[in-house]
Amino acid sequence: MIIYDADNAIYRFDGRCMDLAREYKMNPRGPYSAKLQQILDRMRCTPMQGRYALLVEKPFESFRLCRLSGKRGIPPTIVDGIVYSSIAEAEWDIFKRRWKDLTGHDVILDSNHDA
Amino acid sequence: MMRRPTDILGYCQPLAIHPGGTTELKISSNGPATCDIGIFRVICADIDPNGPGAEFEQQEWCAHPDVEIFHQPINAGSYALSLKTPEIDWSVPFEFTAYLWPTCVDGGLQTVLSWGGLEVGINRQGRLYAKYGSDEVCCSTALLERRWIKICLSVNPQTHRMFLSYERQTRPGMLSEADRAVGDLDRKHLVPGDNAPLILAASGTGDKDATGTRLSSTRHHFNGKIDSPAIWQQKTAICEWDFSLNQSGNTACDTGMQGCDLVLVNGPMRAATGHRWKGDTESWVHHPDQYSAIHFHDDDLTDCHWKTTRKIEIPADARSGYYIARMTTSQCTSDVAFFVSERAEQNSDKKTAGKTEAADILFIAPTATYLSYANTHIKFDSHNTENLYEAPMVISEEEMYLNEHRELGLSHYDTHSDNSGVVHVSERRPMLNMKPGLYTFNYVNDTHIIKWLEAKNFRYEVATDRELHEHGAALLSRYRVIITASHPEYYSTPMWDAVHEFQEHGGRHLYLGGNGFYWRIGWSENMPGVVENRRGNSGVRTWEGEPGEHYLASTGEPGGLWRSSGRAPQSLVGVGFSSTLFVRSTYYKRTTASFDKRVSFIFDGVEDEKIGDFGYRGGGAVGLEIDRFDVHLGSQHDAIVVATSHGIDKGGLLSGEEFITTTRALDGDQNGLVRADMVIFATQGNGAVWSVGSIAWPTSMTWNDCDNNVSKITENVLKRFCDPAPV
Repeated sequence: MIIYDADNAIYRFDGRCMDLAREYKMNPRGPYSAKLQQILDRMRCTPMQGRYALLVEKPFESFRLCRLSGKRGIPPTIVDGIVYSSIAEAEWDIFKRRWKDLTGHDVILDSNHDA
Repeated sequence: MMRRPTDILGYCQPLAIHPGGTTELKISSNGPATCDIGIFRVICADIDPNGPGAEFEQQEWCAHPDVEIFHQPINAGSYALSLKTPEIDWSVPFEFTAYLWPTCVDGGLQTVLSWGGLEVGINRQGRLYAKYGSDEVCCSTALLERRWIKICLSVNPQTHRMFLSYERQTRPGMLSEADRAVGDLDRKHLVPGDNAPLILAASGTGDKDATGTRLSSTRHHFNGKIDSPAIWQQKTAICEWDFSLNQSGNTACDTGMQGCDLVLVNGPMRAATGHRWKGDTESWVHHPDQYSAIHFHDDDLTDCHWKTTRKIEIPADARSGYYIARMTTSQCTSDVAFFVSERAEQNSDKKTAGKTEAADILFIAPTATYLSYANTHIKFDSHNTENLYEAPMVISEEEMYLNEHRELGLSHYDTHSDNSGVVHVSERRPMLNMKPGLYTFNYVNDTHIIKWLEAKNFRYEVATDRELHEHGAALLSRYRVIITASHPEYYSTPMWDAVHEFQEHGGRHLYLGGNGFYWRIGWSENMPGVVENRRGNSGVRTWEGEPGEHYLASTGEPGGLWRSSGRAPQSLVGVGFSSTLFVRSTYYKRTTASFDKRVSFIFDGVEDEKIGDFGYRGGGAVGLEIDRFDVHLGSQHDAIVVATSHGIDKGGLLSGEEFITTTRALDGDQNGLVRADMVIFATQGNGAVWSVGSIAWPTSMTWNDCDNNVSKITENVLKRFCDPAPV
């Protein structure tokens, strides 16, 4: 039986490489450079427990940030106060949160870009 | 108070009904209330405000105002129930023996045997215990998961002692004692078994229903396999259940002296490897003695058994198609899908009903696929889902509800609470993603075809997979053209054979999808509305079946991919599954061969170089899941590939069965197998097949009010196929 291993995603990256964060900001739906693809693959394989997801608050209009419990039947935990008006807005925010979680560095882009 | 669609749930039994028939709508609400029930024919179920426009046609022939509704419980979890209570002499020593393969020993209390006051099970510490009246014994060691043990409870009313022991099986036939416990019996205890039903894999907390074939409520379900349970007295088998018999049925045979057969409730998995399985066979048909186990789960469900709220009588002249019953209260609306389906001509059918002759076109609603995906939990349970879709999971209210209400039953993409794969899905339960809503895969996408057929004024009828399975080629033979949908993934042998026979007798077939004809399934004959699927050693899977358990219990056939049984989809429709492409859909370009005058009609009126560089799923007609042409897998040598996909990038991922060794370069940027091919070929008797090889094709047909090159090409082919002149 093949069982999910929560720790099988091991790729590490330098959280100071803002050019890759900028690439994602400019082109959130891809295709991505090989380096950015590796980062996104890593982010999308974070353990189910605590993984960010979106709850539909109002279809096509508003979405709440949540974190999955990783346990069947146990609902996600709502992240208080975080509501998005579009999926694109949500994906960019989740990207920045994961960047920080995985590298310890904030995503800080230059003043021409919203961080 | 009802505010959300999930506050009112329901299902129709049967899911599909022919014109003139009756289906029973069964509703449960979160409390007593009233609702209005209306019936709508579904033209388009896509509720996206940026989509083609949802469209529902209210039916005047059915309206039920102010219907009283109430909560109806669901008793999930499988078990075996004696139809007749065994009789033993309680004053004489007796034994209960069985082999167990527990799969979840760190959960709650689990009952292996329950018979009045007699009980054998696994306690919360994972230890084997037995109760006899008020007396209890318990072994001292915790059981191991997924290891065979042989258990024995010996009760001696004469010495007032009971012994509980188990042995570990290291290999078939090799046992070593592991643990034993001894206890005293209270001399005043009551005889526990008189008239109480004998239950395996659960404790009963309610009475038998009127049919005597299920209990009103159960608890403490056992997760795992039970093999060769038996009750002995004076070295004679009072009851000895042989699970290797009647594998396709839902009863288990007692080969002992009393014939106390067991009825299996909620569809535990049959054809499970038993303690004798040696790994030298994969077929329960060829070696039934090695398949003497049944795998029970605490979340199996085959039938909610809800009371009927309203009967829906379908007029004899009703159009076949997709329908919903819409329940409306002052605060919320909730839909239940059902289908009005054509079937093979019956003597009492159309002529007497006054219907005109059949349309040229039959659209086959892939209800087996809908059932396989029904109530999927992959956003919560499958770690790879986000990676596959390349985006954070967006969870709807229905999906939140399903996560917390596992009693609604699982999909073929889910695992049970013990991590084993789900092989049975049922239509006799609410299905929260098979209706208009945010979950667009399959059901919603297919209604784009319905919307397009209506927009283009084609005369068509609809039948479901179930009728295709039951009536076969007799159903199809009265139509000139069949259309299979965006994702007809799950096919039984009779369904496959019917389509093939139709093709080879002059039928014309439009396959407007991808990843079709992929898994071989079985429709259970003994559990109405239940579809069985086994995940073999290949294919895109969210779980993998246990070794030796890839054969269907319902039919005895190998389960898994049709490709593994020598019938790759290419052999039926010219193309077969190659890749997933869940982001950044792309487009086709014509091939040089498409300018051959025999097939150039397909592109009449289309001057664009790019075909389908638009659409509601990822922005293109090549997307979601795609198929390719390959003569080595059975594509017809004289087939013509008239268009092929372009522009697929890293988002295209080659399916596992498409490569053999570990390798690199598996994405659409680098691997030429990651593609969709559009194919046409002739069959016998002026038949023809046209396949587009992409799930996203139909959701491009409706783009720009059905005025686009994908729509035009489909219209060209459908009109040509409706013309009896040879293709």
